[in-house]
Amino acid sequence: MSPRLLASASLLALCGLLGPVAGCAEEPLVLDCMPGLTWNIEEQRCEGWDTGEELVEAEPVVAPLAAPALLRRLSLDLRGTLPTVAELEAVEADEAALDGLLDAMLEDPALEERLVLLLNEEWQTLVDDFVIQAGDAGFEREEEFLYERSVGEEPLRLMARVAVEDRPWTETLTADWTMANEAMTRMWPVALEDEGDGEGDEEGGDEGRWQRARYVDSRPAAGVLATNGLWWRYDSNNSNLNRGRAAALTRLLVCADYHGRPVTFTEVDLSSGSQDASQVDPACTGCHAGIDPIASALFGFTWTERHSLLEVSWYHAEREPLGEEALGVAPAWFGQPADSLTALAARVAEDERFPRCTSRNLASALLRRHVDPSAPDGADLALVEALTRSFAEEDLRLKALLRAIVATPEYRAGSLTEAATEEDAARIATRRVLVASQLSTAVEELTGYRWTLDGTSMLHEDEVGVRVLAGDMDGRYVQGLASEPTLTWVIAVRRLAELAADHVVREELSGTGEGGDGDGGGGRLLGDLDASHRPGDAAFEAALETTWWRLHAERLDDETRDGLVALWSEVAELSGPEEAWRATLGALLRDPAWLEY
Amino acid sequence: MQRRPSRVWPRARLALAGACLVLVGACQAEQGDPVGAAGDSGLGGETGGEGSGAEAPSWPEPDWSAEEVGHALDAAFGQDLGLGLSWLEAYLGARAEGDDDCPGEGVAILDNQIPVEGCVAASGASFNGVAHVGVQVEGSDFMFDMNGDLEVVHASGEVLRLGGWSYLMAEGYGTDELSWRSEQAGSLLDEASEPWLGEGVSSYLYGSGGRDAERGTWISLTGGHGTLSTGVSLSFEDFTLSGMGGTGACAGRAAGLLRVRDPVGSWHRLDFGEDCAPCATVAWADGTELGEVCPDLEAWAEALAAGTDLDGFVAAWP
Repeated sequence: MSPRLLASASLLALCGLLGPVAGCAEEPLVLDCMPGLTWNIEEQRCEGWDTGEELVEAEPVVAPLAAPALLRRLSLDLRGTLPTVAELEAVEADEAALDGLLDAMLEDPALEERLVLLLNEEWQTLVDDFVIQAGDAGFEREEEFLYERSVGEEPLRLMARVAVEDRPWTETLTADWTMANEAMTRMWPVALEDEGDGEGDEEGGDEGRWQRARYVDSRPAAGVLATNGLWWRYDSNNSNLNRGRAAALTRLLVCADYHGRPVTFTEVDLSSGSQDASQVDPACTGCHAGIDPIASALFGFTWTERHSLLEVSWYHAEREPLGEEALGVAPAWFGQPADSLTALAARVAEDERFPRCTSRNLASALLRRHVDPSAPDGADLALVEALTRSFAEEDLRLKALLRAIVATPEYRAGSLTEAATEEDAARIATRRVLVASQLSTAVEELTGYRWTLDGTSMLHEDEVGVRVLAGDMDGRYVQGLASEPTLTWVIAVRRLAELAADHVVREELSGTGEGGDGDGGGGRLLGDLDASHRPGDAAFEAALETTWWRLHAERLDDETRDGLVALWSEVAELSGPEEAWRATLGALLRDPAWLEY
Repeated sequence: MQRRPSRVWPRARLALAGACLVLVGACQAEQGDPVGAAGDSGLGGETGGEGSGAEAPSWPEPDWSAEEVGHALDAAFGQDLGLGLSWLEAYLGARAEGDDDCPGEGVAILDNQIPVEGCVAASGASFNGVAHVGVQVEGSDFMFDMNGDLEVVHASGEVLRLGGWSYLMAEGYGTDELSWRSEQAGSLLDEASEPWLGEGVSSYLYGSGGRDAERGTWISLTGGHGTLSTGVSLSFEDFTLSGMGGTGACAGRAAGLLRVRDPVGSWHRLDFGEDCAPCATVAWADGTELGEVCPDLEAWAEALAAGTDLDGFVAAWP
C-alpha cells in the first residue's frame, strides 16, 4: 500500500487532511473506510490496510484555496455564477460561513440548471442535431434553439429534478414521469402535470418552462431510459438493432464502455452468417453476450421510418417482442432477466456499479479531469470507492455526493505542494477554465448581458453560436470541456467582454439600453456610479473595487487599481467617460485571472 | 417534413444482419468472457452486479386475469388490424382532397411535387411530405405498395399522419381460391377515418391469408400491432387462424403464439401449439398460468379478413 493510496483512501477524513477549512464539523467524524481499512477516530483517518504494510501518513500534495476563492469555485460549479459581495465578505470574515453558503447553494434553483450541464458532460445529449430537424417538428426558424434544447435537455432535466428534490438516484431509472415544456407538447405525446403559471423560461418564454410531465402513450416506467430525448440522441438503425444504444447505456450507467474494448476483426468468421457469428464466434461473443440482451429490451423505440415525426415520437409497445426475435436473445441486464424496459431499468438500479459510475462521472465533471479507477496508482479507485460510500450512506441522494466531491482535497486544491509529483501535476487541476456555459450565466448575472442572436443563445450552441469555440462541448465531435485556454476561446471571450461591457454602460451609465431608466446610476454592477464620477470619487472607487472583488474573490490592490485608473483616464480624455468605462470593463472582463477558477 | 422517406427496414421479417461488424466496433476475442466483466474500459476488474449469485428477479403482478385477457383480445380483434387496404384507403381519402396544383396529379406525392414547406389545396386541405404509392390491377391479381412520411390536414381540420409502409399482394380475388400477403410497418393516424385510426395505430405486422375450400378463410400473422395511445398491443409468431366455411380439421381453430401486453407492461402468452387448438392457456411473463381462454376464433378471422375484401375497391379503381 503506497502512502499516496493511503492518503486517497482517507479522503473522507476531510477535516483531518484539510485542517481548519470551512465545511469541517467540530465534532469528530465517524466514517466507514473503503474495504480493508478501518476508521481511526483519534487520528481521523482510515488505516489498517490488510496487506500488513507499515502505514505512513502521506504529505499532502495540494494546498487548499483561500476561503473566498473556494467559495468562488463552489458558486461557479454549483450555480454558474460568481458569489455576491455579501457572500464574499461573509467568508472573508469567517471561513466557517462556507458551510451555510454551501447548504444554500445546494438548495438554490440554479443548481438544477448547473446539474443539467454537469450531467451532460457524460450523457452528451445537448447536441445541435437530432433525427428530426426543427422545421420537420413544426418549429419556426427562430425556435430552433428552443427545439434543440427541449429535446436534448429532457433526460438531463429528469435527472436534475431527481437530484434537487433529494430523491434517491435510482429514481432516475424508475420514474414514471419525465420533464417537459410546452414546446415539447407540440411534437410529442406528453402531458404537462401543471398548467403554465406565466413565469416563462429565459430560453423560450412559457414554452420553455420545464415541469414534470407524463407520456400518454404505452411506454414503460423507466425514468431516463424511457425519454425520447435520450433515444433521439442515441439513434439506431435496422442493422445495428439497438446495440449502439445498449452500449451507450452500459457506458452511461455502469461505466462499462464497450467502444473501448479491443477487437480483432481478422478473427471474425462471417461465413456462417452474421447472426450466428455474434452468438458463437469467440471474436464476437465477448461483446455481444453483454450488449445484445440489453438491446433486446429496447425495441419499443425501434423505428421503421427514422424521419417520420410520428414514428420517432411515440413508443411502440407492439415491437417489444421483436427484440428477442431479431437478436436471438431475451432481454436481460448482464445475466439478470428483464422482460420489459421497466424490469431492465430496475436491474440497472440494483447493479452496484450504478452508484459507483455516477460517483465517477460526477467527480470527473467537478474535478475537471477524467477520473479513472483503473489507473495504476489506485488513487482514483480509492476516490471513487470513498465517494460511492458517502453516496450510499445517504440513500443515493445526489446532493450528498456533491457534498462529498466538493469536500475532497483535490476539489479544494488551489496549488500543488512540494510533495506533488509530476503525475500529480498532470492529474490534478488546480485551476479550471470558465467555459461557454459558465461564461453565459456568470456574465449575465454580473452584467445583465445575455449574448443571443435570433433567439439562439450564442454560448450554448454551435450552428450560429460559439459554444465549442468558447471551450465547451457539442456532444458529438467535441466531447469534453477545454482544460486550458485556446485561441478561439480567447477570441470568443474578447467578444463577449466587449458586448457585456457595452451593455453595462448602456444600461447603467447612459440609460440608452433597453432596460435603462434614462438617468444612469443605480445599476447592477457599478453601484451608484454615473457618468459624472471621476477617479477619487467614492462611487468611482467603489465601482472598481466591487467589480474586482466580485470577479476575482480577491481585494483590489493599489498597483492594479492605479493601472485601471490610468487606462480609464486615458480613454476618458480621448472619448469621454462612457467610452472609458467600456474600455475598462472590457479589459476587466477578459482578464485571464477571472476567467479561471 | 423530411422529404426522403427510406424504406430501410427489411420486409417480411427482421433481417438478422450485421452482427459483429455492426455492433459498436468493439468485440473481444475471448470466448467465455463473462458478460460485461473485466476488460470494460476504464473499470478494470469491476464486475459487480453481474448476476453472480443474484436473486431471481421479481415480476410484476399482472393487471388482467385470463378472462380479462380474453376480453381484451376480443376487443382488439374486433377492429381492423390494418391488414389489407386500410392504410391505402386512409391515404386515398386524404389525397382526394388535393387537386392538380396541390399536391399535383397522380396518386403519389413525390419529392419534387410540392414545396418543402408543404402546400394548401383549393379544398383547404394541406399536404406536407411524401408518399410513394403504386397500385396494379391485372386480371384477378392485385397489388398496392405505399410508403411515406406525410402529414395531411383535412379541410375539416382533422389530421392524417403516416410514417412507414404498407403493401398487399393478392392473387385470385373474385375466385374461389384467394391468397394474399400483406405488411404494415410504421404508424398511421387519421382522425377523419375509423375511430381506431383516429387514435393511431402502430404496426410491425406481416400477414398472409386466403380462402379455399379446405381451410375456408385463413390468416397467418407474425409481428406486432398496437395503438399509438395506451390501447392493447398484440404480438404474433406464426399465429394462424383457420376458420369460416372450411372442412379441414383445423377449421375454427388457431395455431402458433399470440401475446398480449398487460397494462403493467409485461406480456401474456397464449400458445395454441403447432397443430391447432380451439383454446389456449394464458401464461404470465413469469410462467404462471392464469387460466384458459377459448375465444371465438371464427369471429376474429372474419374481422381480419374484412380488410382484404378487394372486390369493392377494385371495382371503383379507375
